[in-house]
Amino acid sequence: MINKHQGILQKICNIYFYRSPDKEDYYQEILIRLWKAYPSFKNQSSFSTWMYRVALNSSIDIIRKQSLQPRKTELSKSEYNLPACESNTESDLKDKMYQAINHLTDAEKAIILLHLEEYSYKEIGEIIGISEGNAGVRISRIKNQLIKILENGKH
Amino acid sequence: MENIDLKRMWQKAHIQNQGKIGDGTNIEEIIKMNHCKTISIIMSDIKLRILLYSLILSVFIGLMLYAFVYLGISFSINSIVPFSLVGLFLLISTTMEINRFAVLTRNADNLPVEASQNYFRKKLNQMKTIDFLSYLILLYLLAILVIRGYIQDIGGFKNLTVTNEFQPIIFVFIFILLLTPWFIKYQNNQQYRKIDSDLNDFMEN
Repeated sequence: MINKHQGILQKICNIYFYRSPDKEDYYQEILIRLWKAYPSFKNQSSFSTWMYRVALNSSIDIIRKQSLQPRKTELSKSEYNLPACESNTESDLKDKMYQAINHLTDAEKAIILLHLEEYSYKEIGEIIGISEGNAGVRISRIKNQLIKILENGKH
Repeated sequence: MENIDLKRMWQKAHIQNQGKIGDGTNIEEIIKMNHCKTISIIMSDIKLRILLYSLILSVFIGLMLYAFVYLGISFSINSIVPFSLVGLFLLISTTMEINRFAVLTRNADNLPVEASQNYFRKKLNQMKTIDFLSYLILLYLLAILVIRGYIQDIGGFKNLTVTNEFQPIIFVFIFILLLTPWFIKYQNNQQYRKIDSDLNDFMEN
């Protein structure tokens, strides 16, 4: 099942650990956390919804762990070579989007990812734990912010 | 219109398989691990510090018990002050590391994201409060004992004089004891400031 939904994990990793040299490692940590949490999956929601929930919680938790225990890490090649000089349009677009999303807070990242992944306000509300109305308000605000960043390259 | 553009951009950016992360990953091997390499290093660092502080603290307590209980050595209050300070430092360092470890190991991955954040915030606040209250009780109690011991040492309140050369040291020591819990509270708030601000962002409407 995890193999089938690997795309979800990759997008979450990209959103929270974009350009991090330890991205591969965090991907593994999320997999481990999913495995540990799996016994409590009760089919009350779809597997992908549950997976989003656990993976988003794990990613935010990893960021928290790092802020509690800052470690010195080597910059990756991609970090040395900012901005990335990728040739094809898809990579450029992906880069642009992830860089813009990187300006958002952890909560905003989670909400906008679910929205871009075509989840309804109701489903987003269930995963994040907010009301449908609140999800709608937040999405609208985050979208405006994101569009502004994409247009101007800043907030 | 804006909505469609963002979604289109997102879809366009992910036409091909995202690839790259996790390619060639052996899931069966990974799920056997407790943590990934980076997180394991963080946890091992803290475990090592807990072990080190606990070991030094145990040796210190052992030596103190040997000297005061087994050998029956009796020091004046002025000589006990430096020992108490060392013991306090070791105790504070050990418990702070244990607390940090506890914060790092607790999670509620299965809950909705906001509830999980709330759970973490609750645990964090709980730990900060317990931390503060234990130091407050412990150090204020110690301050009372030091004052009592000192008064007994000099033979009662009537002998409290400004000319006693040890008196300022005792007063400074008591002042440090009374101030330490508040300093720890401040330090905890500083340490968790980034996490607190992230949690506030999450709860914001």
